[in-house]
Amino acid sequence: MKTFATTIALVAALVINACAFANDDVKLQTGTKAPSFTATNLDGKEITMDSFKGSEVVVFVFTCNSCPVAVAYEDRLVEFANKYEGKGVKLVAINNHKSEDLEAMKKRAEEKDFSFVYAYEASGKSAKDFGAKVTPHCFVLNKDREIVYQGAFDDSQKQPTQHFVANAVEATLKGEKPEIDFKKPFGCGIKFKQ
Amino acid sequence: MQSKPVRSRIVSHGFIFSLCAASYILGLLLVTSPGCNGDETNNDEQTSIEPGTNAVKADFDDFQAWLKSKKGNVVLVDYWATYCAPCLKKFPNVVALYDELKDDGLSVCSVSVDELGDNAPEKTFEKVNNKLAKFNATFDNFIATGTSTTIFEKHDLSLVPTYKIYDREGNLVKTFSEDFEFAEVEKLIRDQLSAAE
Repeated sequence: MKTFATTIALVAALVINACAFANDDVKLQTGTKAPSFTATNLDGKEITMDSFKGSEVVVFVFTCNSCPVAVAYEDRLVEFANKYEGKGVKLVAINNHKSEDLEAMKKRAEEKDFSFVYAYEASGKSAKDFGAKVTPHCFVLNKDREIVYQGAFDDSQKQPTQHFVANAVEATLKGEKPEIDFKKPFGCGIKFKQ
Repeated sequence: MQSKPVRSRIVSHGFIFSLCAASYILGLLLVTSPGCNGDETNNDEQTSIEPGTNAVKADFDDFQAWLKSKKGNVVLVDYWATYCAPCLKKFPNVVALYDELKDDGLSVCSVSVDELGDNAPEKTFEKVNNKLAKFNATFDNFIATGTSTTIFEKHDLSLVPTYKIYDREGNLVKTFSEDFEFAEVEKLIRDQLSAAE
């Protein structure tokens, strides 16, 4: 009985310790299935996770029109989407910005030649459910829609040398686990509608 | 004593006056010409803090050295970026607090997470320094070097604004990052200042 109690105590201690060391920056741990969501794309149509059933990998990017960091990444997102066109990878950009709207988003998409889905979700629920904190904040999902990477797109606004999302996508396409499953994202804080 | 003739006295005085005037004008030109307001030269001197509001670049070791040098004081570190609207909104609060409590044991520094980059870092300095001057931030101001990932990882940041408060022994007391009012930051600082040593 004594050994049993000790074992329980040890296990409990280990579990508590593990929780204490859990990453505060991550809401949904690696391997967790991505939450469901609803957003409105630029055509005014509703999209959900099912809209991308045919894609091997889905990359969610929480972004917006006005954050200078997010804007700095727009060209990179276009490049990425073009690179993975037809390779089973879908890039889905979600805008939760309270003060923005579909019109402004449409304009930006045209100006910058967005070749990816750009959808609006006014309540911010999707960002909250994913645990997105800043724009841009990326989530790479495998074919089971489990999160295999989350965080920054790459390591630098000005001169990136580490391409976290691309590497995670490549690994996932090969059926492998990404080497890096989290890197702190940087950008403008996402303000949620209260 | 033989006094100099008036004419030569005027000439010699005139010469001295002209020399002074020329020096003064040259000095003015040097001071007001771009690139000579201290920014550029300061980049090479990590340890010297420019008086006024201009920022100097600092890697993580520089920052830690600064922190260490402030032991004995309560320290507030303000992580911000020129692109961060909430950071700019809260900045005047930090300045006001510093102006009020700097002689009562409060040390403050700002750390901008605006990326310098290798290509035209002076543009980042300009952006940052413009804001600092606007806010009249006379505490020590830094721009963190490195990639955004490096900066965020080394300083353990999730987003900006982030305020970190250290006690007089240099221990991190609290990090304010999400869902907070500046009043809470202020309260903690005042509590730390009045705490018995």
